[in-house]
Amino acid sequence: MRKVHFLTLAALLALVVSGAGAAFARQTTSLVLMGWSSSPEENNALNRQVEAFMEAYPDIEVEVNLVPDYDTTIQAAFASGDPPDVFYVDSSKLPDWAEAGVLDVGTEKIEDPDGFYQSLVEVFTYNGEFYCPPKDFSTMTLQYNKDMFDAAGLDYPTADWTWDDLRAAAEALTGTNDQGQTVLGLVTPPNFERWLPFLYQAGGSVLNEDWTEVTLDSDEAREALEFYVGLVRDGFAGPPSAVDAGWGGEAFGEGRVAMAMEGNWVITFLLNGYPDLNWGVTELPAHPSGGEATMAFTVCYGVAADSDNQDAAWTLANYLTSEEGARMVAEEGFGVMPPRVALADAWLAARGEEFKPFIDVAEVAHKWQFPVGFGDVIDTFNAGLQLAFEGQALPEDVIFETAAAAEEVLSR
Amino acid sequence: MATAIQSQGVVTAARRRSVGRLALATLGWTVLIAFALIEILPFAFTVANSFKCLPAVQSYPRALIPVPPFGVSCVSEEGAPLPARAVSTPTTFNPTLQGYEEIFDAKLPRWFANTTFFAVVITVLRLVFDSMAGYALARIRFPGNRLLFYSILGTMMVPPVVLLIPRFIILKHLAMLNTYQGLIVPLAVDAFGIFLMKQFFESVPGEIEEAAMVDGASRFTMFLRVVLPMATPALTALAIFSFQGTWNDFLMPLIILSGKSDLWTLPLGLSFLRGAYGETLRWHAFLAGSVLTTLPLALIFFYFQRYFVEGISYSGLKG
Repeated sequence: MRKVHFLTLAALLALVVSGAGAAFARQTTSLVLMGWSSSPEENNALNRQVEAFMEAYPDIEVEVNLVPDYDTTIQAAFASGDPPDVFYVDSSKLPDWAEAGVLDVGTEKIEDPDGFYQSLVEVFTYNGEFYCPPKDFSTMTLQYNKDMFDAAGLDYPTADWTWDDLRAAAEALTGTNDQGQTVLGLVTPPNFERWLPFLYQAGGSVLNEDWTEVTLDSDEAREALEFYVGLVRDGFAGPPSAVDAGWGGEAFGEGRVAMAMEGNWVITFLLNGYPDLNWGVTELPAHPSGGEATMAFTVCYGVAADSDNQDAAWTLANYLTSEEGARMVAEEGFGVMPPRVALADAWLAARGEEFKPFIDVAEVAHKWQFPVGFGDVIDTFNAGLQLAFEGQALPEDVIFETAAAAEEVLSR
Repeated sequence: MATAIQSQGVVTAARRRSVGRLALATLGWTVLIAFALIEILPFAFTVANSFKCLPAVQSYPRALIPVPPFGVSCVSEEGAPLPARAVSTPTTFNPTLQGYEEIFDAKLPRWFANTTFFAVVITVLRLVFDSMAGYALARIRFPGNRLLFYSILGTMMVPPVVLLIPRFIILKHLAMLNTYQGLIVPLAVDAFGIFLMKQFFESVPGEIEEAAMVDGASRFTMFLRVVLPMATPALTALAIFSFQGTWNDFLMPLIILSGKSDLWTLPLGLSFLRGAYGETLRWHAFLAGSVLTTLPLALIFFYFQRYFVEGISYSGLKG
């Protein structure tokens, strides 16, 4: 009996020792990855990516943490001094967060930066430092309703279109539908970011290169805004509210406008919500002098300056944005596009060749990013634009007031 | 003759008065019904659209009348989404359970259980602690009684948003973030409840307690057996307010629990399903979740309607 006891004890001891040995051999690091949810499909793809990562790096454990109301949650996490190791950074937030020092600088740590679209690298470069590898991006293009163009006997828009073509088509497509409702040629949301492509196409800018001077008060800006507002004043275009819609994509899906200028997010929205809509995509029209431009909206994987496991965190951020890692998402063909040039074909194959214009414009895309505190400037512009649509303000006055508001922000 | 004329006049006047009253009543009812419809419409909209396929939710005008066939599928045999016209007309739609299926796949039962658990536990704790604190402040003379009461009252004047980050940091140091107790403990006692209970206990005549004391009851027995049973209206009001408030609270659970989706409450889950951008919102699932979030409170409200009204009139405050 005693012998048996001894044997059991010995066996137990051996088990404990071997278990402890295994634990020492596999010292694991745990990381938290925080982000927001765009759609269940995208969340699943991220989870698959992370699982593949943990298989490739068995000593790193990753907890994916997708939260509601991301801005509030991450702000609280920053304030607590215990932020997630890796987290989503919207391009518009980069200046704020880089200034606040919550982001680790990635210049030396981001792998294969040349494989990204250079316009995206530029977005996440602040004060000469490349902060974080881009996760994905969206661009703005022109969507058109094929049935309406057919009915009006017009040719579909092409990448060669200029402002004049847009205006002529918008005029021809404006009218009423079977139910007697107004149909507009183009939907023109009263927002800064919808107008910016026109400004850039005309050769204008909001600020100079290093954000020290306001360059908005220019003839190019006035020309661009007069064109945008002119479409509305002449009755060929209007904000979504003019056709009982909440935003441009809804107005377009409902068939109340023939053309819209939306980003990649409109793809899933239209395919799921309006499966029988017959529509196409092309690049935004160019300025008559040939100037092309659009906007890019993008998100990157930031690594926390306060992270205890920065090396592991960079390994994760690099993996998720590597050709291998990002391919897993690209092949699902979601609305957003992969950040690497080499993955464009994989995305197109999954999403459909007809969406190529979204990728084609990547190189002429401008960043959606302004200095800290620029929200007031955007509000000033949006309020002015709304008044200009109603004929209660002149485009030149809107430019003047917006430039003045920008001066004030820069002088702070 | 004269009396006949006189009585006829009285009858005419009476008839005129009753006609006037009828007109007034009709007018009153019309106005009331109109406002009731305005109030009911958003709920009808939510319920109707939660049973639609996504394209049908988005198509305009939004149909409100369900017609057979019921339980249709939202995708074709090849798996492509069906257009709105396949499952709806401008006034009618074929109901589907798609939205409810999606939301059940998204941990909704778990969030429902969490919300119920939080609301019940926090309400019970508040009933216990608020009434004890309120009684002590109302009846027991101890040094600093008034100072304590005014400091508790003072915390009501601080906007909850101000306390957000400090509370978050304290809970982090106590390692209580993303735990059940992290949400429960800070909300287990609240200043409003203490205030409500104290005001109530002060209105109870002291003679009753004196009588109990003469009979040899201890302070605690007296509180439990004599005072508390008389406080039912105040306790009901408190229970209703705290249950409703906890059920619907968004900010506090967001800050304390957002790290762990297994602990989320319904408002957090709904906000998560809404996503960061409205464009990819799956309306049918979102509205199905809204229905399931609203339903329990609505049922409780109908059941306890009388107490709700009493509670509001009693406390003179809206929850």
